[in-house]
Amino acid sequence: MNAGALGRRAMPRQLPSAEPQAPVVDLTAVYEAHCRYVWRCLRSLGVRDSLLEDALQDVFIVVQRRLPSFDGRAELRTWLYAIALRVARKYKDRARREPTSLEEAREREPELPAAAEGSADSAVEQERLALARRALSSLDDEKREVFVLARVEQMSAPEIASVVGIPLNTVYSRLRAARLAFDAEVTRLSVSTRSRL
Amino acid sequence: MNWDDDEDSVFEQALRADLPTASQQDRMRKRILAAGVAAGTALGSTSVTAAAQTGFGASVLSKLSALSWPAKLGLTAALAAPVLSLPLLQSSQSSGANVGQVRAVASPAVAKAGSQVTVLAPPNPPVASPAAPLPVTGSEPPLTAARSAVVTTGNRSTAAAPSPSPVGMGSARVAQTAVAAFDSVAPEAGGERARPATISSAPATSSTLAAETQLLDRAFSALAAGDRTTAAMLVAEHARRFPNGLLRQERERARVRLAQDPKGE
Repeated sequence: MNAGALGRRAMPRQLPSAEPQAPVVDLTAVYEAHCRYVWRCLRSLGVRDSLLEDALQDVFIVVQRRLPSFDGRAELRTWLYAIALRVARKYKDRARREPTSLEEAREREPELPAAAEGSADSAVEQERLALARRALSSLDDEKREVFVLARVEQMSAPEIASVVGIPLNTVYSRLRAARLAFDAEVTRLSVSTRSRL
Repeated sequence: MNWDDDEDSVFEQALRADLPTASQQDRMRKRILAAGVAAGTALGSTSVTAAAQTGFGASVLSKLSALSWPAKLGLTAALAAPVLSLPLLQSSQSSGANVGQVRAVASPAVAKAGSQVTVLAPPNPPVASPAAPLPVTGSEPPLTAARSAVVTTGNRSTAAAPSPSPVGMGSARVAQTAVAAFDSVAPEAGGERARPATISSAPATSSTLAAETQLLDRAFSALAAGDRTTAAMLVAEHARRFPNGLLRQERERARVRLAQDPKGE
């Protein structure tokens, strides 16, 4: 089955007619259109891999509950990321309270992929991703959130201010600091990796 | 403002390209389906139609394996329900004795007033399940996504699992339980289909499984509502009454959640 079929089948379900201005948003269509990006956002924000699917499910449970009241004043994507951000915070808070197993520690600091895994290009991409994820995990939560929303999810500064709930100027300052920290960590890790090889 | 004027590093590009694989997406969709959220409605209906046409067993087994525990809990209760509902069943219509096949027989005329669901014996029923059709009376309320993961849509209602029965614990309940266990998503009463499905309304002569289900269902509902005291009490009661009960694993899950999450979320 394809996404089009899903969308067509689900389209008859619409928002209550009491809100004529509200856009007609179908939950299935929202899921199909955004689940990959919500997943990426949760992962970039630091939700453990083993809990990613739980977190994604939680996001769409909240979406399901609140979609009828979505008034369309915000972009749907902004609204979704606001939910994802809060779910990610909840999962990270929970993870901090729990003892960390060796496997989870490895998730937090992903190792570089083994050599000869796929093509050379693929290996380079995986190495970059692993480095980037480790550099991300070195950021504190405030910087990380702004960095992920801006640089990974490509949101605008006003959108980020709305999602995170901080003033616009703070978005800029945090992002600047986050990028500096991220680049410095990537450089450090790259040097460290090369010196090991 | 956008960030297009900024330099885009290859590492940021790598993070942007980090999307789930097709198999991960498929797995997630199944999970969401099991919880009755989002894709549940559409996937449930299309998959179920396919199952009705091409054979039910494999499709349902794969669904069952993907179900979250509340769904399994409800489903287990639903499988036990036919025992309670035997006197209520109508045996006037003959049914194909093709084990494991589910067929929707709702005609357009019938569908206007409601839906008629034919449930045959499940592939591996824990109890003797009747092969008689179970008429579902009353008009079908509009199903929300959470309640239509298994039974859906429009004028035609099809059972993806052998669950609907006059005493409830039907598929609507399965999906509703799955959702409520997470975040009390469905605080409302749940309409006509949900009300008779309330496990707490089961008669006192219910089986052990029904009693266990009732206790743990209430415990998880309390947990979802943040009422940890009640949840702990219900879990303890289950442990006392059914130390080696069929749902002891679910009890342990409840205990783990009680220990893990002070907010009960």
